[in-house]
Amino acid sequence: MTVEAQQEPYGRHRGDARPGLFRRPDVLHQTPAYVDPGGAALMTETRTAVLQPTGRLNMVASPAFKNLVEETVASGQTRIVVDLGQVTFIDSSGLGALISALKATRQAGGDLRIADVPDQVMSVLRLTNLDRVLRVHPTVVDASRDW
Amino acid sequence: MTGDYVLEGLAVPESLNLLHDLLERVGREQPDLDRRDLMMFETAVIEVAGNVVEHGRPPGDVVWTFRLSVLPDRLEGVLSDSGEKYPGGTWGTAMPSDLLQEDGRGLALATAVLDSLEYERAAAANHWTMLRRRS
Repeated sequence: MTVEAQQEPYGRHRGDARPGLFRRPDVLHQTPAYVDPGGAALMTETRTAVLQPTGRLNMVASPAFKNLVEETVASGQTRIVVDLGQVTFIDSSGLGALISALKATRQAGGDLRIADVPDQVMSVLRLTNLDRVLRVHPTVVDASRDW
Repeated sequence: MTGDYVLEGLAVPESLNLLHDLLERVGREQPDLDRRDLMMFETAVIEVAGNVVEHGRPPGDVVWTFRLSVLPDRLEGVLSDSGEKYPGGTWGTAMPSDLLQEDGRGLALATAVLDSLEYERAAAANHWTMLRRRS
């Protein structure tokens, strides 16, 4: 019998403790490894995280999303892509959580992008003018490039 | 197709999901109702209800009743809550001038997706009447 190594699927913050909210390990973006100008150390830049809230991003779910963003930024991943493809509904508290996340990443020297935005979310972003500050990308892959 | 729906409960965050569930049921039972009309109406209902959850006094003790009528020409919802008189002033569609402000968009967003949003204090309750004409 073989036992496969258990992989920690969502990094330090396991998403399965928070239903409807997790990091997507399959698309965690890593820029190519580079050689430290000092010579010896080979380092991999892993500043980007993809967060994927699911279902309703409303007053019930927003606090957990904000916490996850804060923990992600604190862990050094200051470039965040929020994959909204599985979000069925957003309200103003969800919008507030995205704004909070945008500010948290920028204050840490990073940025936040949103991707795969469903109709209801896009309508609400336009009505609130927040499409001017939250950069919308068609896909997570597009959003993960060229920071 | 028309219909009337009622939901009663406590004005706490978790109850918002019951309102969502009700509106999803409306979508299933009213197949000729335009999806966008329902989606935008749901946006308004959740914002108004969220406002009650946030500002309703005493917190955690406010109960509400939501009545929805799906009529041939419009969607009409009334959210009535037992809380103290709504302390807020008037509202409109103006969004916060600071785009990075995290709150203050709820009733403006509700107003933007409705044809009318009216508030009335009567019979020791707050009544929020939401109307959206069907496409």
